[in-house]
Amino acid sequence: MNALIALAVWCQPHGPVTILTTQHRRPVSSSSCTSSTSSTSSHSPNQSQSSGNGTTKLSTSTSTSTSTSATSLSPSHGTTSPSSSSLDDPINPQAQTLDHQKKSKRSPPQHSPGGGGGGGSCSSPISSRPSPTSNSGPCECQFSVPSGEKSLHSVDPTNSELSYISQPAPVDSSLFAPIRIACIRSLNAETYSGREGAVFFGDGVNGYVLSYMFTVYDAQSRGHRVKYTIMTMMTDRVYLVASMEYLISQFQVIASNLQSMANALYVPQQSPAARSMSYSSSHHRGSIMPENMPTKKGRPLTEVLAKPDIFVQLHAAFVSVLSNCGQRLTERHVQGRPMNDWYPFAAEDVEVALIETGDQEGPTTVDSLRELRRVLGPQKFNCLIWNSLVGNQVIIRGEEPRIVVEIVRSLEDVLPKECCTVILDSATYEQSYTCNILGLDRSVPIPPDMDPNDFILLDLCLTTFTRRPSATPSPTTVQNGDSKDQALVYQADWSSTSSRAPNGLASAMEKMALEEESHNNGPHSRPSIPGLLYSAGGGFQCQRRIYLLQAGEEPPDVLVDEKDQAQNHSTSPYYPLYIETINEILDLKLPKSIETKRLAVLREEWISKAKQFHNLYKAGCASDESVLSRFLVSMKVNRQDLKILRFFTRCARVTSHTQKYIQASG
Amino acid sequence: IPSLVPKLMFGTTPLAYKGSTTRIHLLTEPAQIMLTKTFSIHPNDIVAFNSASTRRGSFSSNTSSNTAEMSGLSGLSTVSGIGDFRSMSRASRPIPTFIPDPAYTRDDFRNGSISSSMPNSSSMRPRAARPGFSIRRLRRASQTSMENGTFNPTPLPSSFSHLDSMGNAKPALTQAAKSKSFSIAVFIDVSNNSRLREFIFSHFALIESRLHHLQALCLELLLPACRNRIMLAKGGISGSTRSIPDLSRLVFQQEIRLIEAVARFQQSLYELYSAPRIQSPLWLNMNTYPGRKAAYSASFMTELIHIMEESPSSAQLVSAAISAVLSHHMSWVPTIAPVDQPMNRDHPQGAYDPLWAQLSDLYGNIGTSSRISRTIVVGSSSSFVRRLLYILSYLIRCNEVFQLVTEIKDDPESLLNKPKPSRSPYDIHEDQENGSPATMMRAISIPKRPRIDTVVTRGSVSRLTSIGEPTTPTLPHHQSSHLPNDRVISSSVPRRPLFDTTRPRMDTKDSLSTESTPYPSRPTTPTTIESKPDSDRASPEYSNGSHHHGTNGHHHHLRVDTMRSRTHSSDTLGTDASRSNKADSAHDSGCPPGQDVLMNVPLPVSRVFCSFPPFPSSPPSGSPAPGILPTNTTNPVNGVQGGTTTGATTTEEKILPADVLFCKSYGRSLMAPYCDHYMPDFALMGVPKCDFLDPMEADMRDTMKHFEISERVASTVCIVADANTWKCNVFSARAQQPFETDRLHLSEGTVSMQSSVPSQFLDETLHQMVDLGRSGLTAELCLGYFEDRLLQLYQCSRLLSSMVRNKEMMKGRPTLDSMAPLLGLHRSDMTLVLSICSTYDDLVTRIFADL
Repeated sequence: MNALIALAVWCQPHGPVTILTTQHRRPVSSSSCTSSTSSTSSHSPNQSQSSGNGTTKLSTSTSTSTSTSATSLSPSHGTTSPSSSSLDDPINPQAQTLDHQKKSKRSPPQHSPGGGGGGGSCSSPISSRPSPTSNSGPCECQFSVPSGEKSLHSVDPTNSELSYISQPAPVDSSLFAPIRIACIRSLNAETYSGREGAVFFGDGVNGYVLSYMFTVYDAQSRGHRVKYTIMTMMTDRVYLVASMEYLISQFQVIASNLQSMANALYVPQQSPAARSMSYSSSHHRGSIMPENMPTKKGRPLTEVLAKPDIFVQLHAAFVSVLSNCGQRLTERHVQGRPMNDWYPFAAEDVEVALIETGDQEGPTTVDSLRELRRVLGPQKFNCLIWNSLVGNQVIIRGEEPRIVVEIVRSLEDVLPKECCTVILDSATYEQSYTCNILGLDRSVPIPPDMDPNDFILLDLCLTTFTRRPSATPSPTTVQNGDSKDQALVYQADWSSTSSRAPNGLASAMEKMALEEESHNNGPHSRPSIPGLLYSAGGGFQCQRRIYLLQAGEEPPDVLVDEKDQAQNHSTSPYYPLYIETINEILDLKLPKSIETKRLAVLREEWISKAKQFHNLYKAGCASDESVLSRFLVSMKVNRQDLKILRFFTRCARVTSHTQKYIQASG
Repeated sequence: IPSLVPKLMFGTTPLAYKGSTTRIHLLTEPAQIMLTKTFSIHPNDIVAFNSASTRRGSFSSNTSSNTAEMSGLSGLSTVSGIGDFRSMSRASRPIPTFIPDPAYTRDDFRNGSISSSMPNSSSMRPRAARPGFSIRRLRRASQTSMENGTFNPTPLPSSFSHLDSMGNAKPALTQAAKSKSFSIAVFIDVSNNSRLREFIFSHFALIESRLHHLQALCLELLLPACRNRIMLAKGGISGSTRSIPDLSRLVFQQEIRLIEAVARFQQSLYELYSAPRIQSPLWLNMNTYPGRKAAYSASFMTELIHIMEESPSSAQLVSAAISAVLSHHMSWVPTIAPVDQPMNRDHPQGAYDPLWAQLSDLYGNIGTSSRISRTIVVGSSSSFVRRLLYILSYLIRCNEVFQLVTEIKDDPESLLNKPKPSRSPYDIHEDQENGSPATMMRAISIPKRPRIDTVVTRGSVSRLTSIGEPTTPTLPHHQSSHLPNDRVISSSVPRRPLFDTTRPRMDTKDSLSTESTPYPSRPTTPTTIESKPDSDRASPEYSNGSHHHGTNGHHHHLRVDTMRSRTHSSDTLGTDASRSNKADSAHDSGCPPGQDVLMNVPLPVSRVFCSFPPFPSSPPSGSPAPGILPTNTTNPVNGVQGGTTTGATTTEEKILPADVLFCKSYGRSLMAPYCDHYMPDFALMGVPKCDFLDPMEADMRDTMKHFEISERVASTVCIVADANTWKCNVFSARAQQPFETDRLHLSEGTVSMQSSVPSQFLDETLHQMVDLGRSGLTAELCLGYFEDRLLQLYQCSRLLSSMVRNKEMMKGRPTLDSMAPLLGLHRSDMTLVLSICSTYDDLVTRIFADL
């Protein structure tokens, strides 16, 4: 709670005096924050000011170490001392304000830190009296503990970062004047109904104060009463009002405790005569005497209550009140789900940095789906996407790990995170239950006994041409010729499968070879005719990357569903809607980072559809054809997409688990 | 007591600061809360006012424009955080914590005002993925902080005289001397009604706003009165040395505007307190009572299906209303936005006012520009209106604010223990004659209509009319103003009222009797349980609401230990201590740092023994700040709670109705069900007829002038979903920009209306939900889908935000409509997406604002 609690007394010789202030301290965070600020210039005078005030404050607070305090205090009262005159400047505006507002007769020079900073000390009211020199010492009313410490300190019981400190004057110099004004206003100006009571007052300059005023029995005081106030100062008016009832109730308890302590000192057997004797013999009479009046010592609370450690108790009580009051109203935040399935935005800054630098470095990259589509061609691209979307294992095999990784990463863009088990760079083949997107080195063979409908293999091979094509390494050389040759090249990987496969299947697992010239320089994009390479290379070695897509399941296309869906897409082959939308997004030619995010939005949309499909399935309604078709229409899902949804329900299952967990815990 | 009232209002000695001041007294004799606003008028005010009014012709025809001017200028004053004295004291130490709202996402970081005082702030960057949400709270915490040299009290509205036309403060020294103080006081009778008392303190922001309106009106009345007096006396206003004339008593006795304003104040306060409440606001209850979530979801879906299928036009209206609500009450955004960073740790619990945060959320004031939104559903068919209100109560979201009741564990040393009853006779004697003024909770009665007295006074008691009383030397130093030294003396002139005090009291009585008559037919208890399609209406014993709240406070609480132990690791203490003390002791050569400077004090052990509403058994995901409230539900509830030791499940299931909780916080207070007439202040309410546009517009303008939750309100919005005409209209009023001084009088207060176009995305979503519900999915899953869709909208907004930051994409200066297909959205969705952007990113709003 951003509040300060102070105890003030109407000291007989000195008037209103703050005797204890309790304030919380948050740890000062990293210095970069303050050093980079525009208010640096204003900070330094503040610091020097606070240090100067710290001198007076600490010295005034110790009533025991009088000799040192006297020396350190003396310059603060004179205006001639260079140190205090230098300190005058930062505080002067405040002092004028203070002076102006309180309409005291003091002149501004007396508002050197001893006065302004003496929000805790009694020096300023003294100085307004006729003989300011006679008692320049600190008021005895002020805070002191038997062991002589100058401030009390506690750590918040619930938040170890928060600590509280109690001193006679606030730690922050900026609070001296407000507290001083509040103290004077409480004890001199504000009225309340009854002998004991609370007033809330304040304004937009001096802060808002809740003051609880009460009197404590003291046989040696005038009227046998000393008037105290416990003040809470805040800058947030509404918060203070909201906490007002609580604070008042707590202050009431504190006050009545103090009162009962004082009352315990009252001797009831005392006859009226004895009482009047004590009246006349003690300070009451003495206060009338002129020699006693200015020099009379204030009665510290420790004496009034005969409790030397009363300030420690008060500190503990104030801290408890502050701490509990800060927690009294607690807001419980409802937050969105964790970030993990939404990584494009989390890594935004990093991503931007990568993009900015990344474009220049590599000669050729396939770092986005659009690029992948460009090199593969739309049909093969759709096939690859479809296979990855329905959960078939996607194997990217190539000799350039970087390209393989890029393609894998691109494919991840369209898949839910839960549906991706990725091995980027494996040395051996991994089963599809281990990972559904697998990056392999080119030399790794694919086990021959796999159902070609269950996986799709994208081979990348790099042909490096120097000026003489014959110099290319033989194992990777691929003749740019008919597909038969290529099939021969990959015979090592494929022979067993293709030989064992029946003819019909063999035709289904059509081997596709795509080749794409990759180039060092963008403008030289040409069909990969070997003859052109010589001219395009321009002295560099030219790389030609060949993409070979094998096996895999054909996406359902226009042939299957033309009857019912033809009206939408009359010209283009109609792929599942998700793939269509992906293509549409790629057609927008958005910047790469934006495109990734756009795909993520799309992916989220489909994940949510899949979750509902999963829910429908779990509710047992998915088998009902009418329900299913209504669901599909409502969700704007084509029937071809169902397979995608089914695969995506894997993440629905995962998230429903986590949701259940969240619900259970929340 | 009457003779005491002026002392209470003005203080006994004129030490008081001469600007606007506020006071609150708790009176005991009749238990009353007395709210006082003191403000001062300076001759220059009269001059300024005079020039303003003559420039604009006759005063009578231009009262509204004068209001506009005052409010505009006071708006300026709050922007710069400057009153009359403020500029002087602040100028030397520019700690710019008060930054106009639209700029804060940038500037706060630059000047480090947050960073310097808040923990972990170094981890935040302006481009952090989710600025806005937590930052609003962090910013509030730093604004109200009193550490590190910041001390910026929340400003009070001041009379405009202290500012010249450029918003700069005039020299303060000439101000205070000749100015004269005036004061308004409002007495609210809270006898035996602790709920009302609590209500007033917790809803102080709203009440104070009203009071400030009243103050503004008084100023508006006083200025011409003073001017006329001066003119009469001197034949014109020329010099600035004139003093404020004394006004005769009862000058405003018959002032119809004042009487009306007071009546309006009374009525709005009364309505705010005694209006019925939506008993179970869906969002709050779902989160506060997670055990009941399924039931709430089911009823939500039932109602949604019902009103969506009632007729095509109703479905259209529902879509439009939901679109409008989601575009303006933006507090749903943080509830779906992914938690991307450990920023939830940075909520400085206790460092800001949770009630303020809740109020901001309810009014949708969470964006980069502060906007106050309210929603009113109109319809003669009460069932439809109730259903729609019920659904909207799911969309207008705010966080639950728990009021924790702590107690100090037995520690004989602690001063916070209740003292022993035994006292010395000396003391007892006195206690008999003065009871303690701050009353603790007593028996709770069913809330009755609050008794409100209003006193407008100038240096003296008088009732609402008696601004006057010329003989009262209120602040008599206006005659000795040149000699500041005389002020003390002159101020000691007794300021007691010289007229008989019985007269005003009688007047007050009169006002009391009249003010109780206007609404005799109204159901005066707010305990009417809403006859809502709510499946779990409050059980009958709660409809009384009284016994539960007061007498069995322990009944339904789980025990929450706030104190881990009282062991303090001394080494952390030492470092903390030395760190916190370093600033002071660093330059203090004579003072050896260490043990004798600082003494560590162990604290008394306290624990939370109950909360309102009961704290859920386990924190939600992304629980409140760690360290706060380590819930300890496994602990058996201790003996105090007696029979209800069966554990958290039973305690959770007890749902406190809004009639009990509305006085605790705004969450259950600002949503009203189907009422018979329009009421201000409510974030959501239903009325039968659309006949309230004039008071509504007046409220909107008033809200813009003074509102406590923000230094400056940029716009106010009122969404009116009219089921009679099946139209949803959005009324909005925008404040003028600070720099548009030329158009000061033109742009202010014009309320524009535009009909809300339903977002296609949301419309589709709602229909999908209906379909899903019909397909047999459970209601919770349907709601989950809705949340998914909201999340998608949020993601689209993030996408839009990134697009706007992409130079390449902004080359062609795309319009909002042309962006829609890129996002995969329809044009009608873009308003909503733009609103979402505005909660965390002001750039997008700025770019598309002028398109």
